Amino acid sequence: MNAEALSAFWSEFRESRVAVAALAIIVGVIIAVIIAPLITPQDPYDLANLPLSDARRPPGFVGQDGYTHLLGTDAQGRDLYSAILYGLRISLQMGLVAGAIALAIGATLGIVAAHAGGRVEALIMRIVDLQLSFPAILLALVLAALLGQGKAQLITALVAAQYAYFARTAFGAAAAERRKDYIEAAAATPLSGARIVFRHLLPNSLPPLIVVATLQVANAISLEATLSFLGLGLPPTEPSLGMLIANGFQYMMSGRYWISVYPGIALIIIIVAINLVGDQIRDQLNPRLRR
Amino acid sequence: MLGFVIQRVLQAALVMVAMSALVFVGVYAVGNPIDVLISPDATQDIRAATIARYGLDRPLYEQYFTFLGNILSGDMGRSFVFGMPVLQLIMQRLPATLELTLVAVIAATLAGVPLGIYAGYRPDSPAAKTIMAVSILGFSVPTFWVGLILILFFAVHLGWLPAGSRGATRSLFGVEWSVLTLDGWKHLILPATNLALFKLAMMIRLARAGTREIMLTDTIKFARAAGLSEATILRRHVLKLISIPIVTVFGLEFGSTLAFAVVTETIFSWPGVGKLIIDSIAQLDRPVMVAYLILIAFLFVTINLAIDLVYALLDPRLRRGAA
Amino acid sequence: MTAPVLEVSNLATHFFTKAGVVKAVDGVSFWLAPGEVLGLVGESGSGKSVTGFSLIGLVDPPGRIVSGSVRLEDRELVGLPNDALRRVRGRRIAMVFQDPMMTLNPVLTIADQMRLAIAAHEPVSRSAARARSIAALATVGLPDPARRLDAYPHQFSGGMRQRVAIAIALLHRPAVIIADEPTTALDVSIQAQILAEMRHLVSELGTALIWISHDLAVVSALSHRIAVMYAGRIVEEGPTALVLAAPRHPYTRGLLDSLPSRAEPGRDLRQIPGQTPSLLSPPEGCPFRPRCPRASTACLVMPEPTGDMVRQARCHHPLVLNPAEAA
Repeated sequence: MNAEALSAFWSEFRESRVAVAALAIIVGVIIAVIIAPLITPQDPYDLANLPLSDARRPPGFVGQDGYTHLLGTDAQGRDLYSAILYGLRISLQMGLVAGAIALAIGATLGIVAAHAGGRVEALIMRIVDLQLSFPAILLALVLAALLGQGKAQLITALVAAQYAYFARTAFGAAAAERRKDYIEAAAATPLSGARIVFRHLLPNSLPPLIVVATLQVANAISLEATLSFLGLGLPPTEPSLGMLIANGFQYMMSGRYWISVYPGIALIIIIVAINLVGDQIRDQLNPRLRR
Repeated sequence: MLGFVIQRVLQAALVMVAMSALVFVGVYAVGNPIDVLISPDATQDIRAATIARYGLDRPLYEQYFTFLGNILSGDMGRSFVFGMPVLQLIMQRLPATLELTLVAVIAATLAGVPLGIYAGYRPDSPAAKTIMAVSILGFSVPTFWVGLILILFFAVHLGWLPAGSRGATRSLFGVEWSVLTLDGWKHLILPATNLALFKLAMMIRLARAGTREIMLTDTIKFARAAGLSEATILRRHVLKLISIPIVTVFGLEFGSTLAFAVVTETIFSWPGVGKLIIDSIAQLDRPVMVAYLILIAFLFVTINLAIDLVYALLDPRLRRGAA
Repeated sequence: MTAPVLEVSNLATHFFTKAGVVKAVDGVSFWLAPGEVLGLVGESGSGKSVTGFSLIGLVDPPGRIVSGSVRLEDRELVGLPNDALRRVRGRRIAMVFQDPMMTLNPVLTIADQMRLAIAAHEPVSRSAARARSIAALATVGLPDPARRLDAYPHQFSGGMRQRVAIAIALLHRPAVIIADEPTTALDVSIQAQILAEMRHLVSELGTALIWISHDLAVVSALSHRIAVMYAGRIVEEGPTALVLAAPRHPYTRGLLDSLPSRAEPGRDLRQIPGQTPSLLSPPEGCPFRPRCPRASTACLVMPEPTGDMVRQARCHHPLVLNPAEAA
């Protein structure tokens, strides 16, 4: 992966307007959530300052403190716009952290299995396969239920549910590389195993891992929202998007749709954007579609 | 071929034993089995009786065998909340989940595969691009949100369909199915659509990717060189080649959809196993949780086994056994 | 002289890529008599395979035939609508590819694949298709054809798979078969078998054959005439024996000299200096000019084919025929 290959990759990426737009959205959202305290009129976590009398107001309502609630308020009087931005921050945090840890653990397992071969490989990959056949959501559900609420617990559940995908991908790429003749030749020399792993197996596993990583981050965000929606995951004091949606569910029947719909739209936008970028990367890296 | 089947069945049995051991370890060794199996507000007598029944005061390996024996004879404890044997409870609610999942997965496959093949066959057509855009949405949007929107639109706004719960049922082979009544279908459409959307998107993408790759192979070139019509090529070559990954995904996704039904059942108040597990988690009805895990594991192992066998049927290269 | 079964005039197939236009085939002309074997020889990138695909109308996008004519049995193929072209493919002109493992569908039996090929052009009952398939397999020398019919491709060896592919090509007794490197993926010993088989089939059935290969030795054993391709054009053409004994074009000379069989033991193998030209931006004039020991300023102009009906070469300074060497 040198500079030339990267710039060639980027110029091909640029040709897809959709992917570029998606990337722009992601970058925009990341910037927005980083500077969230600066651009939101209200801190949705500050329970003491939430004006309850402003609860369940429609979009455009001008609240007690004089600012316009662009997207309305929820059942606790939170400005939905602020809550959504903070919720996005949590979603991104969870998704990226869980994704990064799952990537690290999974890739290590996969590459080690491919390099070690024999019994070690069989053992590791059997466990991975077993887990892969188990649906992520169930695993995450049960773990979240067992571990209780909280960020660390949620990340643990997400990582446990996702590392297997990374392991499988890393193993596949590394095993294919290992079978190549030049690795066998290298293994016959005094070159250390670590050198083979880092110089050859790892770089060749990176492209598919990157694709899986992008898609898994989107998956993690979706999973976290689902768990929060079901009442597991984060405590109600730090509402993630999923929880906002869950809280607003009961008001949908009476026409106060905005409490659930707007956080949902925000969630969809970020997930779709990440998936689009991941798709583009995957198409570009797929050798079988090259002419 | 027979050797292959036997080998696979044995492997499956082994995995089941491993899974049961895992759950056992999770429940008995890590967790406190007394808390797991005995309701917190049980009397001393019941406590003593349960301890004796499950051998909770015996050494660990003895407990494991009791555990295994109990499961095999169908005894998975009694639900704290419902007071009835867990197995019975689950069996009661399983048909609802099964019919929801089956309808969803079948619909997703029947609709998704042709759409995906078309998108892969003519990737640059506007129709294909629309299909792909829709599939990205279906893939990305969290199931629970789609459910909300469906309810909002079709039930609240338009008032066409009911917002939840299962419809009227009719009995077949001693089990109640709601797919046999019109009212049942009215109640089934929204949750099934909700559940199917994700799978539909996945099937479309899978079929498209597979078709695109296949169309570039020499097999298709050779078929064209022999003068086969495009329709024949699609029907006899592409479809056959693509059926292998599709069937695999169909089977795997069936299990995954069964799990995902948890969310849909919650939103639509569908009285299935998924809603049961959520309620149990919320109410700390631990015997139900344990039994659910074991049953799900069993289901998955069975499904994987079935897939392996069907796979061998479809791909002649695998029939010589050895995996 | 009998009418040629295939007449190609000024065929040009270009690929319109993002990087530019690749002129893979740029002005190829030749004819094929009934029952004649033409060896189309060239290195990779010479355009020989693309020529083959162009003849049967299977050029993949972003490529397409931009000009020229291909007349098969006096019917023009270029510009023919897809439907009509499909009826010609497999029936009057067929193609065999390089790797039979990739061309035969691994999940269909040989019987199915052969029946599909037959049914593509005429309605046929299962039993009739079976009978014809068995006969076709027997023709290509496959042992025990009746049992083999229900097998899958992976149950055959490479050589047998290629025979199956050839059998499929022969099902409708086409006038022309294009074979694109059919023995390159096979063992040398199997190569010889297939070659012998093809020679036998061609003479027995009277099918014309275009054998595309980079291997001069293989081609020389089988073909009546040879056409040497370089950078999208035929640079020399003539009867095999004549071309090999006394080549006119310096490139052909270079190819022959670099054959290991012609090398003297102990001395370095002779190579043609330089590399094949980029088809995106070919050199001015004769494409072989940068590598040619006989190049002059005259070669800055593209040479047209010179010679007679029997032999032709595109060269301003063709190697002179030594009367003593003429066959």
